[in-house]
Amino acid sequence: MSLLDVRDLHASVGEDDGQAILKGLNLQIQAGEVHAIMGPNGSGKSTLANILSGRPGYRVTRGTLSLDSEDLAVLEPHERAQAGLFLAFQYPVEIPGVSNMEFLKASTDSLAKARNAEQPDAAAFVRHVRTLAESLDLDPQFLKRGVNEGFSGGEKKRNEILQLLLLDPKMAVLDETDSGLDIDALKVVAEGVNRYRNDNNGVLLITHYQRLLDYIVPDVVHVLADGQIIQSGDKNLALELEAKGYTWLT
Amino acid sequence: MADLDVVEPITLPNWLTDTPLGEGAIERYERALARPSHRERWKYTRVKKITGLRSLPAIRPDLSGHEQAGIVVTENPDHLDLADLVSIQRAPEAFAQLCTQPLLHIAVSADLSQPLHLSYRGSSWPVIIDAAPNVKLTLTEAYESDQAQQQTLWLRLGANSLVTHARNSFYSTALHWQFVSVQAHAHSHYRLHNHALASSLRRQDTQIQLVGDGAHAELNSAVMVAERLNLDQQITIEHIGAQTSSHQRVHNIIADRGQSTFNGRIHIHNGAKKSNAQLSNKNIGLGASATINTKPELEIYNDDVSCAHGATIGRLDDSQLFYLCSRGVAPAAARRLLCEGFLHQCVDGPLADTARPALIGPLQDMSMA
Repeated sequence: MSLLDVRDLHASVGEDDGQAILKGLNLQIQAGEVHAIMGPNGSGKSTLANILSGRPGYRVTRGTLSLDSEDLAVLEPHERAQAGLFLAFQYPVEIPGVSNMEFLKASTDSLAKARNAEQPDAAAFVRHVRTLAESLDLDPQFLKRGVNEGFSGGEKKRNEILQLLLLDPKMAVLDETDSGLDIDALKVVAEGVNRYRNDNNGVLLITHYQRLLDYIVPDVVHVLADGQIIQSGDKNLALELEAKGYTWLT
Repeated sequence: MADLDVVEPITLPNWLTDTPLGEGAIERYERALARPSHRERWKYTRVKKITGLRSLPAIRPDLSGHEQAGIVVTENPDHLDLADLVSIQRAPEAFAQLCTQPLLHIAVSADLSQPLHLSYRGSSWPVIIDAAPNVKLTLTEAYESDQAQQQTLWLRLGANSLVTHARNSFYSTALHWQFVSVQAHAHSHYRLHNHALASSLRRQDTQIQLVGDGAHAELNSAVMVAERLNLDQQITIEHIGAQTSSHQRVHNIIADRGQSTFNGRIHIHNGAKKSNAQLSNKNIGLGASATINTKPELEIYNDDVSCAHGATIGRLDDSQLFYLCSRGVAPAAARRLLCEGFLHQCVDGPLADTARPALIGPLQDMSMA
């Protein structure tokens, strides 16, 4: 049984007559696996991330998607998170006035409640979050500021990884987490993802560039073009794409 | 809409008749009532509702912190020159209040280590606070009555003084009028932290005159208007001295069938060269039937100034909501969190700790669906 199971997924953006973006996508990720999806601009990579997370405005028109045998399509975004799905945003949103710590506590408490688990003790929680922040070279002072408010691009991405480590989901979807990162920040983010991965969870990396895969070695690399996966292979496929581009496949 | 023709006549009290302020006061009062700016101030609130509060018995507010050295409190002082402080033209209805009730004068001549606290048990005598030059003080106000009431307050800031003024208006849902007039002299600094819930009608008039060169005013206001309630804010800042500056940030949340009015007027006088004025009013409506009136105004009579003003009316941000939900927070809780964050951006100062939970209190009773 796959951890993430996507079959014949067709999806569009917008209302009933919205543009079809995904056109029969199949993807199965087993627990313990890291998959990378690469593809040219407009191929549907971010649409896949948005469809999986249930972003309003994105519609499944055919096919199925499930996480650990739970049908994601019928769940609201918060229920998908509670089911164990995590999306690291390409462009993390700024929320002035809501402190990062307050947000992380609300999120942790919501997930704990959904899992009938005990909510963490406030003081221990703060210590844990501060330790995580330090391990990602994120100044703990940032935890007092509004969510992502005034953060640099790299700080926002590290904040996403902090949430990934804190919330410990079953399946992490990272939407172009490497974009806008310098090489040092990229290493920190990659180390965070490697720290997260284990035999019980899965990672779906969406990226334009092979560079990220030097630090997070994938088990499978897929090429997405015009809404379908047209090629899959091992990590060497990414090296080949870096050398040849996408045109030889499309 | 306003009912400006129905304003009760006034008679001058004895203490005013032989003072510069009293000279021609009745005529000036009547002229002021006919001014377009007066009519604009009362566009969304019936003035008679407010002037009707004059018939309520007014009581002396309770004071604390007044035992500190450097404070002199006087009831109905024999001699008080209010001609430069009280403007009949700018707020005739506040002047009328001054004519009707006994007066409490508080003179502060030294830095205060503890806040001066005014506690109102209902409609109040007018209060005048004179901060001497170079003095630093904190003024806090609280309202303990749930009856219809009014308060009028005049603050005079001496040169280089610093006044931090905070008020939490939470407990009453009855008709309530709060009038504050501030006159800031050279290089003085006035900060207002205004935190309020709406009532059946809470009317807040704030008039600030930056008369001295280099005077500065800062205003942060967070308001929550619950269902079917109403809050009307009228803020005027006049830049009269050179190099004066003001910064206003006003955030309002209006629930379904609630109503808010914001009129923020910045008047840059001819002599206020190199002044700087910033005004931002943001409103979030939580239902299709929320009513939001907002009008930021700039009136500039000097070319050598820097001014910016803006107002927004909108809903909660969908992308912020999705971000919170994507982390497992249920939509209703996420909306509450966003509302809280929106208001908390304007909560600060000595009463902030009590203001934060009180402001979001009405959100706990709302479905937020």
